[in-house]
Amino acid sequence: MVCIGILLLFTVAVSNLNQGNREEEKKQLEEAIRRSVVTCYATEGVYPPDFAYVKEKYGIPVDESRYLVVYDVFAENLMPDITVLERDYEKGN
Amino acid sequence: MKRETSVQTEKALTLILFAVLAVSMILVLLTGAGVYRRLTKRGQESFYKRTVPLYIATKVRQADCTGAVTTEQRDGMDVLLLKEQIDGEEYVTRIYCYEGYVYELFAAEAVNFDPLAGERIAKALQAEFSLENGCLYVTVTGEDGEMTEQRLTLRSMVGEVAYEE
Repeated sequence: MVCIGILLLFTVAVSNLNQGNREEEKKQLEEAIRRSVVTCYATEGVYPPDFAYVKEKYGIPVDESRYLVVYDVFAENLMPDITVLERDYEKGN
Repeated sequence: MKRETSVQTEKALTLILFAVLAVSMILVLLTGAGVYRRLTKRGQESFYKRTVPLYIATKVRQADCTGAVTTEQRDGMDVLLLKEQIDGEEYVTRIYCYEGYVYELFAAEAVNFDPLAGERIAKALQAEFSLENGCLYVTVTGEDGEMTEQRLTLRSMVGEVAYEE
């Protein structure tokens, strides 16, 4: 019984850790993309036209099977709207 | 008896070897984590010290024309205003620091200013802007508390300053 209890506790702890890791990864990815976009504007005078440009020129690695990056451009001299969404595996999205 | 002692010694040695291996692995992980942390910190410092001021300078240079660059105080924060006219209507880009981030907000001048409506540019504790003698003074305090100061001479105000003198 004690062993089962310890195993259960361990499983819950690992699950919480994974959840926390995922949230942190998403935040870090969004920050990295934002920094690259601002760096592009600071050095080139315009914001990147699309996310493919950011990936190519600034080497941002994105696991597309896990994250969806929404990169909404309004104008080349205005900061684009950047949102990182985690894909929902269970629903197949 | 001798055989039993020998077996026990072997087991003890195996355990000691395993413990040494585990400790070594932990030390390598900790060292690697420390190196990664220092590298990340250096990258962030470089971003706050160079890129953020350069971003502000680029914004100002692109907007620098007569009467376009001004500053104001709103709810206790400094706001940098970069005005432009598009199709006869006045628009303004506001740069300010709010709740731990430098924001950029582009809107029609007539629209009410909502600090949360802007796009996040970078993390910062504070951003101060002031105009004096044809120069824009910018001070940005990064997440780590370090301040970066820069002075931008506004070409649009050079003539005004020379005239006053």
